[in-house]
Amino acid sequence: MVMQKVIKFSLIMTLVCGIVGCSVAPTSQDEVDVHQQVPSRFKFSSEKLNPRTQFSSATSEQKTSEMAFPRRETVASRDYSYRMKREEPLSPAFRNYVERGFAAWYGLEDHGAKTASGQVHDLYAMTAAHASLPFNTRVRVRNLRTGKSIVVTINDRLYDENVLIKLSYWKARSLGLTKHRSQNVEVRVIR
Amino acid sequence: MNQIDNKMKMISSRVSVFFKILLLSGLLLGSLNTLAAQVSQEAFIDKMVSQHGFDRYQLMSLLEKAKVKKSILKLMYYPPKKKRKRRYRGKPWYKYRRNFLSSQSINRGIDFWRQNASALERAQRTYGVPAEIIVAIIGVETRYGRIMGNFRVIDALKTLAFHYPRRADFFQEELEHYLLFTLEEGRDPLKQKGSYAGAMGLGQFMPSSYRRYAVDFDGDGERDIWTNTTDAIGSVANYFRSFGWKTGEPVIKATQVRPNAVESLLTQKFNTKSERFKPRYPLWQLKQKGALYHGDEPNDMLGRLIDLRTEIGTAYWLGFQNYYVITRYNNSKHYAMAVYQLAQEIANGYAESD
Repeated sequence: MVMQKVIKFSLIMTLVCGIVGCSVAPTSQDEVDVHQQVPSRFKFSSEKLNPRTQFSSATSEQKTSEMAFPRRETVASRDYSYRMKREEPLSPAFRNYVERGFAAWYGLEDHGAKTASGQVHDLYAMTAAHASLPFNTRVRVRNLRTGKSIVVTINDRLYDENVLIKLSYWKARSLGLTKHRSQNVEVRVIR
Repeated sequence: MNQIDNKMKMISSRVSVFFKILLLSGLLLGSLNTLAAQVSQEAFIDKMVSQHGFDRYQLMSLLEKAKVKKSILKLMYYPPKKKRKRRYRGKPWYKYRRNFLSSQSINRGIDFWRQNASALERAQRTYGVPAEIIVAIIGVETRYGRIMGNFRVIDALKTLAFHYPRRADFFQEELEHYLLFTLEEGRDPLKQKGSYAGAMGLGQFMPSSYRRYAVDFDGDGERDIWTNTTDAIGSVANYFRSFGWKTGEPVIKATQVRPNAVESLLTQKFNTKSERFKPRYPLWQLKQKGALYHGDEPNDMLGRLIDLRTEIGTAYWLGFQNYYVITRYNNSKHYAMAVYQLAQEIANGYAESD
């Protein structure tokens, strides 16, 4: 009996620790480096972190309480204004952002899924996922093979070191990415 | 031998009688059609004279001058269900899309917006309809005024009102509105040009829509939707507002659906054909039935599941009230989606060029 109780207690403790560990993750959307702030005991590989829930403007206390006691939210109480508009100007670090790398794109299974910014992903939308650029940043993506370029808005987070930007299906297709093997693109912040 | 001869005669006479009947009935049927057209035209003239006080002989001579166009009947031909072949089933969405969402039409839309920026801004403020939706409608309907139709409206309406039984009632009403409109606006009924169905101007308004929804948006005392883009923009915005456009609400949002729920969600009851895309079920009910919607819209908002075939498979959306309002322009899910997506692309391009 006693042993069982001890085991139960330790299990609960580890669970609680795990939850708290998770919730220490940075609250700002602009920060990328998750691992430095998370205690080493609870360090996960990037695949295990859920990009959909990792970044949000909710404070860490809110996050903990949500995870511990999942409850139904009333719609009126939620404030989504931060998702629609980024009021503060783009930080100077990103203003002259230009980078080259590989592009990926969403599939049909992502159509209708929730992005990290809270918007619903649409396969025809003019949106993309990026690892570090703030939401609602508009970037020009240029196909380095053809020279064609499009403008998309960042609305999702991306956790793949090999991919620079993940475009919606239609934008990838109109850039000519889906039909060729070369997927080198250049990403340039325009606003 | 005689008996055989007699029999042969009997048969031949019967055959000839049969053929005679066939020939007669053919003639009769042919003449019956024209007769029916004549009768309905007479009835129409009677109605116009008694209800609106038109001069009978003037109206008769006017309708005499209008021609019955076979080309229009050919364009309107839609085979009965048995004969319908693949090409009449309609294109899938991804093929339909190419007609309206080329880079050319997007760029022309951005140009149109720039040229009419003040009128569009004012229309958005007065009627609550986003500028990009107005631009997209004018783009899809007439390629920003480039193709407004080259048929005489009176020809089109006469042909369809009296020689196209399937929608005779509708087109007789339109003809009535057309005659009244030319009278009210002081225009020559023989000179107006429009599409093969009688739609006129930048926004392709049917005569009844013109009389109800066209506005004089620049205050020059004339509702000119043919050459005056300001009036055309105001009229399109007024049309949308009148059909219940909800400012600030989404048009359509992507959704996921439980595979086994697709059938039941798509075949939800609708009253009439024109209300096929009317949202009738609140989001909570749709979610209960198997729509996996992740948006932030309140649960009592009405929606309707829309399925479209894309290049990579069938994808699903939830159409809201504003989607239904776009289908009031043309009752097709493809049409409304094309307008919406063209609007998005134009807005994106316009914001970029600013």
